[in-house]
Amino acid sequence: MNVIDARQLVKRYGANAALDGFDLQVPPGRIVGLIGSNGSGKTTALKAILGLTTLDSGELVINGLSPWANRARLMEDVAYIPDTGILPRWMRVSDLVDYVAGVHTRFDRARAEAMLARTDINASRPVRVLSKGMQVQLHLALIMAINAKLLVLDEPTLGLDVLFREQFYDTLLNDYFEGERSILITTHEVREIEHVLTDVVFIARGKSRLAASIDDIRQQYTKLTLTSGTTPPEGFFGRRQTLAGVECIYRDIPREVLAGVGAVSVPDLVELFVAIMEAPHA
Amino acid sequence: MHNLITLVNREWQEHRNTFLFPPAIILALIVIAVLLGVMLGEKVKVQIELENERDTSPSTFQQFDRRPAAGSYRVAAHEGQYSEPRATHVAQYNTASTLSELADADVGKLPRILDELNHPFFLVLILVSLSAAISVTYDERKDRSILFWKSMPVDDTETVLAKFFFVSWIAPLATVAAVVFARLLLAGVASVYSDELELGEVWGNAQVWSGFFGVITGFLTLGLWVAPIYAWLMLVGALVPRSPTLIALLSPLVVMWLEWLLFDSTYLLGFVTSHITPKTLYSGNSGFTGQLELLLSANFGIGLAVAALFLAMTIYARRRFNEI
Repeated sequence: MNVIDARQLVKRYGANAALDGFDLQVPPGRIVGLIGSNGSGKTTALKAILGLTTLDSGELVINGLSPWANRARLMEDVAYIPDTGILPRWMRVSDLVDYVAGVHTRFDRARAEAMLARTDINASRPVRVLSKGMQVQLHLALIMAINAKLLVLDEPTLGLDVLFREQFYDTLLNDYFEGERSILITTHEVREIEHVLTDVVFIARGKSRLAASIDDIRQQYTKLTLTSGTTPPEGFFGRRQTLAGVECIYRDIPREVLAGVGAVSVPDLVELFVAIMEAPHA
Repeated sequence: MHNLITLVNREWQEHRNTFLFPPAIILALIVIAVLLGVMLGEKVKVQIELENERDTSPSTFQQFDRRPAAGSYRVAAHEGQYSEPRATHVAQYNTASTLSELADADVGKLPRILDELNHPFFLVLILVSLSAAISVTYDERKDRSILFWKSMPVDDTETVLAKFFFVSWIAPLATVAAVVFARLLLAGVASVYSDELELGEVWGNAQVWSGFFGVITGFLTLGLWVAPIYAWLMLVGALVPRSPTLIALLSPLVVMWLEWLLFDSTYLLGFVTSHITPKTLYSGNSGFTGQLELLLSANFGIGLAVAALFLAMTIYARRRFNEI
């Protein structure tokens, strides 16, 4: 059974469709990157998955539950870190740990305290005096101490410096990701998370434009780099002019065929995203 | 139940300063006033002598029971610093009941003074509670912490009811404690420093004790009586994107104006004002009957129904609307 099973989700705000037939399937044990530009429908999709908004139509099942109807039950198995600090700024760190321990049956207090002990966070201080990086560390410590089946991260490292971002994903991979747990991440810093993803979904105008595993992408997509003046072979769906020449993205074309024309490589996610977004029927 | 305790505790942690400081400040002012009174006040002793018309030999006031025999008396009161006479006032009283009233005056005044003491506390409590009723549902949306609370396995019904419970009954506990302390303080000072009041007269006075319980039942009743107003403010806090206080105040005024314009009626105005200023709930001694009358009134039943409706709408609004 998929942890997330979303089919043909539609959510309209007046005349605008934030989701317009969006599909997403996440099996257990996967780390999925949901990638899209601003206004593409990422946040609406996440809110629907977390039971924070209704849908106009479509089918959405998270861990076997309808999220809107069963948000409280759903949150026993789903953890969430959003794009900006949402921890209550007036609360002391120790009170926050007490609160989560008080309402969450799957919260491992000892684990949270052990994680906090590895940071510079003083448990007697209120959240508002912590730096942004510390607040993310605190939130991560709380969330990672919850034995959840699905972790939803919405731009979790926004505004953090490079070191914190690296540390965040290292902790996530080394201390959290195991067994049947799944993670759904949205971020603008696609290159930073590329190495941690097992799957990727591109979303544009409320629709899924690509849903594939990283392994499949590496097999199916090819980037061909040509020097200026060279004509690329037919069949590419993305083309970008660079200072050195031209880069074209091909799908399902054997690399041996392209190798004789120019330099062949696997496109990174940003290159693939740009190519697919610019090609209406890719 | 475990969730409820955690949720109420969370509200207390967020709003404790709001509910602790105002009664603490009033209490501090009372303590200062009492201390100044004790240290600086001039102590005046009045000795009353009574002369029965048939028996002209003077006898001091204390020789009489609280209820001297009916008859006509001549009263001479000597006023002075301690035992030194400073002036003499002479008056003629014709009935013993007048004397009895004189004798009871000091003890009778105390419960009334203690009741008066409740007013500033309860008035400030209502103002603070009304303000908190908006902020318990609005602030979490404004600082986006609602997304954190909603990421926990706690449903909106439980959360809203915990907030209501907190505003109505938990938050006022600090005020009740301050009122009780102030009453104890004044009664204690009165019994120690008043020559006319003996220890037993103060602490053996049933009205003084019933006043304490009146304060407690009064605040419990207050939570139910003001419930429709609290629930309305919570609804506005959970619903509107900005200026919740303004909207919470203005929208009923518009409805009141329309009611007056269309039906020449002021029912809503009367309903709101009576539910915000329940004077009978402030007093301890005289409050029991008043509290019971309030709880048995139709207005109370209507208030509870309105509160239930607004709370249901608040739960729906909190479920539907997230951060601002």
